[in-house]
Amino acid sequence: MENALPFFVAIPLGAAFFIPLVSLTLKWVPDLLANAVMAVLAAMAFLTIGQAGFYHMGGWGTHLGIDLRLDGLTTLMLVTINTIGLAMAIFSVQYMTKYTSKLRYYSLFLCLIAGLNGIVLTGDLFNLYIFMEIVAISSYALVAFGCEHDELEAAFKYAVLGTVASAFILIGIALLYAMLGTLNMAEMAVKLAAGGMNMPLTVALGLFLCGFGLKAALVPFHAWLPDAHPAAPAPVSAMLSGVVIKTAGIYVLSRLIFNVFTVQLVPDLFSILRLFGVVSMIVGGILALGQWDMKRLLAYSSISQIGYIVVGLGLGTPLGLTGALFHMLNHSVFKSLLFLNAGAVEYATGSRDLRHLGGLSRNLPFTANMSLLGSMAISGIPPFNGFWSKLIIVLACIESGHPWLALAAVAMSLVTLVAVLKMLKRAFYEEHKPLTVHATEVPVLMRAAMLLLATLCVVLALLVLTGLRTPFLIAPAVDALSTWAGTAPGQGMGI
Amino acid sequence: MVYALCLVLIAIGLYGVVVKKNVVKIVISLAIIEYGINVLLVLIGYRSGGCAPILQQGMTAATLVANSVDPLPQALVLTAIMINLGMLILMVAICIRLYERYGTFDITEMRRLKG
Amino acid sequence: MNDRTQHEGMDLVAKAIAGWLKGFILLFGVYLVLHSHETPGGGFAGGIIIACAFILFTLAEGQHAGMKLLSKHAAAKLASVGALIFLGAAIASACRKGALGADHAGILLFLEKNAMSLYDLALALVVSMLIYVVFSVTSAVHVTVKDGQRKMFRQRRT
Repeated sequence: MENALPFFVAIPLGAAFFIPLVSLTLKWVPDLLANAVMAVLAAMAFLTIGQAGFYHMGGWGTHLGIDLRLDGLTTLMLVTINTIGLAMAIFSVQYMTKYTSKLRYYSLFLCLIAGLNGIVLTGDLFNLYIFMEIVAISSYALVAFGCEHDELEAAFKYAVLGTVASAFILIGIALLYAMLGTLNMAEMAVKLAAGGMNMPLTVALGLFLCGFGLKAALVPFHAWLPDAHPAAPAPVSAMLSGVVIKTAGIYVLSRLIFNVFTVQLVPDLFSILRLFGVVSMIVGGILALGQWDMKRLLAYSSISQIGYIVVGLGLGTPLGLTGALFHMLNHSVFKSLLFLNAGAVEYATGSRDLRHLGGLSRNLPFTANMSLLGSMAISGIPPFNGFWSKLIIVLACIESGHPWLALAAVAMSLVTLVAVLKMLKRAFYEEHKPLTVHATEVPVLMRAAMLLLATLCVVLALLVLTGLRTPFLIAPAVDALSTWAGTAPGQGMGI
Repeated sequence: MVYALCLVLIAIGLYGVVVKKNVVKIVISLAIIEYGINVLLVLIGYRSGGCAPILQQGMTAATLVANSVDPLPQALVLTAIMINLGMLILMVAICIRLYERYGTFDITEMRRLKG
Repeated sequence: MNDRTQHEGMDLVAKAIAGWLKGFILLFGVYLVLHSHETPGGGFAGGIIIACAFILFTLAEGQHAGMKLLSKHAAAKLASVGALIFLGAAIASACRKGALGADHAGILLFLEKNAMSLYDLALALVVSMLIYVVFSVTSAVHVTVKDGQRKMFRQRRT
């Protein structure tokens, strides 16, 4: 399996460059190619479950070359990215016909996938920065894809803040390299454990917190997200909200905090994370209540859900990590589903303003049901996956002696319920508005993508049956976070 | 001391991003931040009196390692420059499109989105 | 149409000198690319210089002549081809180095021996074409001064 690791980046990148070569008359080729690539990648991601290993790029050793590493957390992220990506590719086939240039869309989309896979696979900090920039540049372009007022303005805001974040991260990397003399994360962890913290390293950690906090849209740094995510085409919003902020923000942050800077070095780190988390949770949730744009409401609720994940990480206990990672997986599924619903509504009616919508459950019964299911999952109604991950986070809060955090998590769950009920009621129930009278159900492939994600919402709840404390797929990821530190990579492939 | 100058450069860029109202000036400020970081990166690998990290004739690997500057930050800077190039191109393109839509470069007049 | 093309671009002197120079610049760029394995950053610098030849021509002769020589879409496609060569060479040499186990001969061996030159060639192709595309996309805008106000227009395609 280790030999297949580079192909997680190579296949989407190759397809991304191949698509512009396709003649404009063969319109079905990009659709087919993008879907085939995503299906292959998703299958490959599922094959990595339970595996671990290293791939040394070009056959150089760890100290000289670039490592790709596969462990539990990487597997979890790969499965998330590529499964959601597959659903988005299926959705895009018919949704993107209303935009002009499908070729460029698929090119950028596949570049995004390549960058995301690269971020989770690489074991090298600078390489991670490069992949992060690939993700960033393609997502700026995708946000600006519509080329209208809102899109351009949002993309500019996103690009400026994103570039500043990348700049912070690069300064942090430079400081780490200056202090430790290596860029490999495992070697960094060993040297940090031996040498302890000092002033420049603390500054670097602070810069990383700001930079990745901005990428993850934690609350003091969240201003770009509610503009950028609604402006993109629906599948891209779903990808950005569901996967990108988690991969480029939360995943890297947790890797750095748990695997590179270990807790023994920075005792206050966890309380900082908890503070960020709880503030994001509350502010995002409350701001979501006042929104009238469907996608904007969902974007604010993303901030709130990211807060849950960060609170879980900030507890630092195995149960907290389990909850956080489980919620990360769940949130990417149901938030993507809800964004696709919003996209379907926009496709059918041409608007996503809740004041102009209403009664769509009669026109779009399938979308309405999917939306109901996604809303129940996000607000934590029992049989669905969102309930279980929130339950685990709340239990972890109580277990580690933070009852107020648990209370806040439960309360914000209710606020989320109110926000999504407002969306459901205004869009799908109530009376018809002029805009919605003649709306018809969306095409079959869009429905198929929604059905795929909705099925996942139910299936992921079954993960709890494999043990509340050690769910399948999540437990290895938690192990990776808590035991990785200090273990230098062995002689993996050695080609 | 020289490191402080890099930080000054970065701070000037940040100041520009925060204060300037013209989108093109914001893009230029972002470029200044990146230049500051690149200089910082090169300085990290610098060794006073060091030679270029290229193996010359009649030089063993050991003497090269003992005398040359650190090549890794230079490679990093080259990569970072490429990335910044892509970023700048994209942002300039967005600026042009913004000008087409709004007829101005002033960011205070682009107020469709709130929050 | 004829009228427009004659008035496009710079004046006669610039056109004549650009016509002379562009071949030499192109030649120098190709030279740098071919010797790129011996000079640091050869493929990249060579690519930039090749792009400069095209940009000089476009500046001197005007947008339409430039687009006729090498259109934006063709350049973008060439850049994609370059990127694909880059990726193909990487995968081929990874396979050659034993990821697939067997000892390959023929094309893969050739690729491995010439991997660096191939990378540089592909890099030069990508860089030159991308820089040219960027130039032609961002320069397709006219700034005119009208009633004391600057106005920017996107040039219409012909």
